[in-house]
Amino acid sequence: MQTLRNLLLPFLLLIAAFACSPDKEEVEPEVEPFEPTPYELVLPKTFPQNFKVPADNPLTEEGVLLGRHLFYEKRLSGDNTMSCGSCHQQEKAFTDGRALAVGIDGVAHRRSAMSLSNLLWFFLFNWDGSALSLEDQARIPIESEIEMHQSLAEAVKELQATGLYPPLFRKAFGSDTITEERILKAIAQFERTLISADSRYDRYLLDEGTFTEDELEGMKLFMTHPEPGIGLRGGNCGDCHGGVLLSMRTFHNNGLDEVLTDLGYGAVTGREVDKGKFKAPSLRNIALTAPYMHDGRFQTLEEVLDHYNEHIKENSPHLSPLITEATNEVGGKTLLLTEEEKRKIVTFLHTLTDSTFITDKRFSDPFK
Amino acid sequence: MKKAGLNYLLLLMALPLLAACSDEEATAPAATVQVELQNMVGVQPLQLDASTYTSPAGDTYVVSNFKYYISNVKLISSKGEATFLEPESYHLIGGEGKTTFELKEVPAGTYDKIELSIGVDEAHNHSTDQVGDLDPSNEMVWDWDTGYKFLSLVGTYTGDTGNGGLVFHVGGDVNYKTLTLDLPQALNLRQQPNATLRLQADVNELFQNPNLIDFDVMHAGGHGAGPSMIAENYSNGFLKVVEVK
Ligand code: HEC
Ligand code: HEC
Repeated sequence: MQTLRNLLLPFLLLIAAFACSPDKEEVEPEVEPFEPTPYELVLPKTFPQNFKVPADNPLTEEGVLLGRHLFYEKRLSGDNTMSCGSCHQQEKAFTDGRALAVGIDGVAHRRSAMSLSNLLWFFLFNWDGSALSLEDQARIPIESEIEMHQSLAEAVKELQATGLYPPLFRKAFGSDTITEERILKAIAQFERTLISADSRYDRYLLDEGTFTEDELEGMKLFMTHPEPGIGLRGGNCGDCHGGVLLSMRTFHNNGLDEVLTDLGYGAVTGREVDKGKFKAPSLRNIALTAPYMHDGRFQTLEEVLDHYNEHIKENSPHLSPLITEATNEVGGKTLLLTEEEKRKIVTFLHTLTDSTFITDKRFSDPFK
Repeated sequence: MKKAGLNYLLLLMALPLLAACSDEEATAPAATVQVELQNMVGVQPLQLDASTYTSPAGDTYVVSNFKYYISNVKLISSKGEATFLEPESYHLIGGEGKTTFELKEVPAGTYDKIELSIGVDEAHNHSTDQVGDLDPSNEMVWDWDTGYKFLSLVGTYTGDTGNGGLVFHVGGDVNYKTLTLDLPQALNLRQQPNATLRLQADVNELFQNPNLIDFDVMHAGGHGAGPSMIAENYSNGFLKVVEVK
């Protein structure tokens, strides 16, 4: 064994020596070594630990800081009046309070701005799942005519001409050069740090806080698929909005319309069965993100509960079986929760508000 | 370019030496066994949303989502020669999930049975441990008390007297079932250090044997007697090993 190692070592050293000697023409004058600091995510143990960050865009302190600036950077819009933060406002859990989002030209988007939290665990973005990564997603609002209406190439030029950005890009990516890809990567890094994990519900799960009787019953109703045959009552919400993320990350038709005007996920996949399906979004901070649904049609959570309990459009194409098969009475055709039960579910939804998240300085506008 | 070529050459020369090195250090050769799972309805591969099937009770149905947990996988030699228990053994099968998994570092020996469970054992069902495919954010989480859904099947049906949605969510500690399946031929890992076990699951077996499920009578359920009937069915003939290769 010893002799083998003795033989092997010079060989390996030789290989290493050759591999490591740099080509002359490749040598570039290094101004300062590029060593960004890894960004540490702090997660409670109740949260899934198996998230994936793209290998070519690891989270770094410098990248996240740059991303935060870009998220709130109005120069990314055509007339320098609007940033991501205009439609995704921190105090409203990164929504805008409008039914339909409105871009720089005053034209309404066909959909409502989405709340941004715990995106780290999601893999399809937008109401219709049309973006496969946060990097891809970020290009859409910048370039869309009805949102920020600016070509990314133009944004690159504008930012390159500032005093602020070249040094921030150097710290994040190793050189002053601003590129479209680096802008998108930095924004995505910032978005991945937007973690909401400190609501009263989280503290309850961690045994660090308590629920009132109503909140507890509301939670149980929320999570339970009803089975009238054995007297088990439930609101069935957990089938689609369950788990610690308050979203199963799945797409469904929840019975809003008989005639579909927005095909949602179906327009993306091209499959008949997906028409009218939308992402069942996370309900974290839901009390802060009214109005509700992809087109902001409901003003209050009470209206949302009325929808699920009384106004499901039975003939909506591909209405989810999880909804058609949920009733609290034997032979019932609708959900049939009592007024009292609906109220308790709404009470539970209020425990999902995370005031740490909406006041966290790390997520706030750095220009203010 | 020239230099890279040289490096490779040197590496190539060094490789046999490295191999010789590790050979001497290894104690017993360990094997890797690939487990392949295919979901079927009868003799046809299950297709989500695309095909209409006939249940054992004569109703027709379409499956749009189908997932289940396989856990605590064991390889057994009936001669008592060896057993192998996969550590952190929790696999979510079906849907968009994986259909194969690998048993690593299996000690050499001849195995003729595989033992596995459908569901999640009590210890892990109620804990925040996230080993294997246990994930508090996947579709299989229920509420914190009940634990995970062991098996979930969602679709639509047309019965003799009605039609509608098909929603079976089976979970709860009583429905955790352990099954022992015979291999169609013994697996000799000494002769075959890289083997594959091909398993099939038959969705129709969820609805018969011993309990015939008529969708007109039952087409949804998660708790109570109904799902337990399905759990009894999935411990009888639902899974089988069809090939050792
Ligand atoms: C004019 C308002 C507006 C602006 C400005 C805007 N967004 Fe949005 N955002 C929306 C709307 C509307 C949607 C839903 C789009 C859809 O479903 O088609 C959305 C969806 C998203 C989503 C998907 C969230 C999810 O859970 O799937 C992300 C991420 C996002 N926006 C990030 C950004 C970023 C980053 C910027 C800046 C580059 C930005 N937004 C600028 C309105 C806006
Ligand atoms: C079959 C799956 C499913 C079930 C069950 C379900 N939802 Fe939803 N939910 C969705 C989908 C899909 C959307 C988005 C629909 C859209 O905008 O077109 C949604 C949207 C919502 C929204 C609006 C979110 C936002 O950001 O605007 C709320 C609030 C909500 N659901 C609450 C509930 C409650 C409470 C229950 C139980 C009574 C429930 N849901 C049951 C699938 C479901």
